[in-house]
Amino acid sequence: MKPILKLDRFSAWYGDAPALRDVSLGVYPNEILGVIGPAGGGKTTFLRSLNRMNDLVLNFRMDGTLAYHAIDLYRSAIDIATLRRRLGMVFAVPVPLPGSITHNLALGPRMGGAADDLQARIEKSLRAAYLWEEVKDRLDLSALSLSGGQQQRLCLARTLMLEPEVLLLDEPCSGLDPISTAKIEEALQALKKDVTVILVTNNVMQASRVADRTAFFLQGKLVEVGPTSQIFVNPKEKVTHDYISGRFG
Amino acid sequence: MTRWIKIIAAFFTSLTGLACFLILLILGVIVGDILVHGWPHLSWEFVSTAPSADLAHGGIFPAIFGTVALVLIMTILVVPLGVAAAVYLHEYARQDSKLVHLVRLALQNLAGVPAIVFGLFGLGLFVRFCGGSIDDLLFGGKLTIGQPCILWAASTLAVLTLPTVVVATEEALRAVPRNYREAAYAMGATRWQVVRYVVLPQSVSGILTGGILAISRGTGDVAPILFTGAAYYLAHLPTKLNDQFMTLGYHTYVLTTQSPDVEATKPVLYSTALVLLVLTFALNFAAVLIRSKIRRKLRQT
Amino acid sequence: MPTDSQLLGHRPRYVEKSIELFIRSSGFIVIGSLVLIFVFVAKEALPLLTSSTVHEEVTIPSMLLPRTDNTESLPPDPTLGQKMDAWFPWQPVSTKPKYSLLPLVIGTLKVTFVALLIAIPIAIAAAIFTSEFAPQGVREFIKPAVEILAGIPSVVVGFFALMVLATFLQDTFGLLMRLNAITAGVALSLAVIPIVYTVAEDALSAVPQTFRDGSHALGANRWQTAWRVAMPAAMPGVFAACVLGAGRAIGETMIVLMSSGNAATCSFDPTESFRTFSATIAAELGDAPHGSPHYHVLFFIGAFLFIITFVLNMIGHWYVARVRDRLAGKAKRKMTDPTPEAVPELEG
Repeated sequence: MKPILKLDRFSAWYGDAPALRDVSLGVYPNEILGVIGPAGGGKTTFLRSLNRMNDLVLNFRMDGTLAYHAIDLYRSAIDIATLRRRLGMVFAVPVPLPGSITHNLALGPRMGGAADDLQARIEKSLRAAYLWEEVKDRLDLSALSLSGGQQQRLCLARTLMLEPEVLLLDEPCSGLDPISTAKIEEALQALKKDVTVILVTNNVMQASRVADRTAFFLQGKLVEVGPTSQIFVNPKEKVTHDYISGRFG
Repeated sequence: MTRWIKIIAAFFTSLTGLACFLILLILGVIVGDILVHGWPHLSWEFVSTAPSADLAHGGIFPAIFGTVALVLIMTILVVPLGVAAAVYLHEYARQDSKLVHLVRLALQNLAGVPAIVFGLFGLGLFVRFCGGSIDDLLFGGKLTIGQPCILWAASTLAVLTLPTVVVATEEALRAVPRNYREAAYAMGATRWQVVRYVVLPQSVSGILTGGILAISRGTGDVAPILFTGAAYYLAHLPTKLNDQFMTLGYHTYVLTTQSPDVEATKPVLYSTALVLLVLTFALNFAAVLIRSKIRRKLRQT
Repeated sequence: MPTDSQLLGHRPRYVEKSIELFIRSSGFIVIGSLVLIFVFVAKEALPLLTSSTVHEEVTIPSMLLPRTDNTESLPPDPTLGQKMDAWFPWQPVSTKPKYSLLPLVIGTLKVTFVALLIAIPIAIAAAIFTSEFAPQGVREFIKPAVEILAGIPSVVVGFFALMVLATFLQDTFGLLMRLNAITAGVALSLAVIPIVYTVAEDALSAVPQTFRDGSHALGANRWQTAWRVAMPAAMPGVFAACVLGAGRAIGETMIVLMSSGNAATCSFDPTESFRTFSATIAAELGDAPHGSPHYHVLFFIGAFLFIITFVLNMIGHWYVARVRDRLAGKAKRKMTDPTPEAVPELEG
């Protein structure tokens, strides 16, 4: 099976400080790839490089290849706005925009110029984010009035409105209660059949619950990647084992 | 010894307090004097009718109309440009670029140019150069718009109040949280879409504040319009862009300094000054209210 | 599902591109405005340097040097003041126009001096009180009050000066002329106080609280802390406040126009009427025929005013920036500053 995203000796720096070193990794269609590792290990830099969100950082530099469907994302003349709609991102802290729930959900399609059939798509996205039942009667209410867990699911639904091919989630459940976390994890499992999911998480147990394959980043290097069961039960590197068992973190 | 130190400290401290009191006192005296002398003559008739030929009687409606019309045109000119400049400075330009530094420098200096120099500038650039060129190009040399009129006076005031609008708008743009923009970019927004759909809607109150402050400055400043279109007695209200106009400020100035009979025009004069003062204060007050509402909201986020 | 061909290549966005063009050019428009102001004012002053017809009536040296040919109007045994008026006359509207700048220079300096003498101590003292001694409630009262004072149109201040202040000062101090530099200076100080106060108070508020705490820990009382610790720390800002105030005083037109008496003399006596640069332009431009030497001289004065206030503003703002830099890194973050986040700065 051909990977949907392929990194080949990809390196990244913020100014002079290296954030990623020679990362080579493939992401395959319809899988959930868990990305674990201690803080500062490069997980977020990796994720944000995929949809070129790091372009917004003043002194970001990269080297190597990052290919999406065999297109070199950093060297081809691509439309970045379109790229970010194909690789949708959900951030660690929920960012509901001021306005109603409908406004939040409709914004992506409106900006992309494809704002037809909104009502049906809104329901579909909210259902996929496991939020429909809770807000279906309150779509006109302010998004800021939702609870933290609901807001994060709203952000997930907002991203799904773009009909992305890949979902990039940056520690989406940090700070959420266990029930909301469970709902989001359930949603991701259900979404797998339509999208590819890359889930950066600080919670090693979450990766073991949800991810098909898991990648372990340490100090900017990809230490090891493989099927989740293998990584957790029988990791190739000792340092992987030490991190997973909580020896450091 | 320590008692002596305490006495000196108390003395100087109270001196500083006295200074504050003095400022409040003089403010009260000015406002109070104008209120006391201007209030009796104020009436609905006063603000809705035209002045008599000797300016000592009648109302000041043309001056009010002219002020409003002048400020309206000024606002239409200055707000889009000021908002665009602020958006450029805060959303588009690289913060360490030379150009940004120059623009900010230019804004600071614009704010410090004497009002009378603005009047000269308005005369030289707008009335003579722009107006003259338009006359030559469009009207075959006939004197149409190449003369002091409300369009050029409003343009002059627009340049004068530009820094006010830019500063207020930038303050509003700065108040929009960084991660709102990030979320929008992640949804595939272009830079302009981020500004249009996320940043600007959140900045409306700040822009409004800037506009109101600009309006307040435009109602009161007389020096820039002395030679660019203000007149002290007109038979008609300004209806075309190349008409001259009356304003409250200019009217106050003329009545104060060129009135043939000071005692006779005193009631009208005081009431005119009162109307101008009330208008200015109301505008400033509205702007302050909106601004403190914004600041309170900012502290909550 | 969007296709790969959509990913490569760009969607045409004409409306968006033109809006962005307007935004990007607005920065140039701002800079251009400032440049154009100087250009168009100086342009009308240029004939003073280049035109020979203008030179028949007035040249730059003639505006600065004394004229000894005007002595027939002098009485016998003239005083120094009368001699000065004869050597440096400003009489643009007469059969033989004379354009000496000295009366205007003296007039401007006179009223600026009086205004700053009154405004600076009061404004700085008030700023010290506001930032060092006043309780929060009082602070929230004084600052808006000063803003209100700043908001009073200068024509209203001039009106007040002419109607009330002039009579009051004349009666209180027994002044000979009703309109003089003291009256105008007091009125002008009302416009200068808000600027000096605001900049000085900002500078004092920016002094870190730790400075004051350290001073108190050493046993100083509040006044000593304010005067010997806070003030020196804020000194560049306070200096800037004075410079910016001076710029405001020199450039102010309406107040002076209405309360100075508009007499161009060389007298240093503040109890006499006088003329400033700005008031001269305002009073005489209306009557100066377009293209006449008088017209060009007035624009020349305008260009001169522009340069002076420009220099003063640059100096003032440079010092304000110095305060900011001096205290950066040491200063306590004010309420309006967002706290820095772990994510690096987003590019604008």
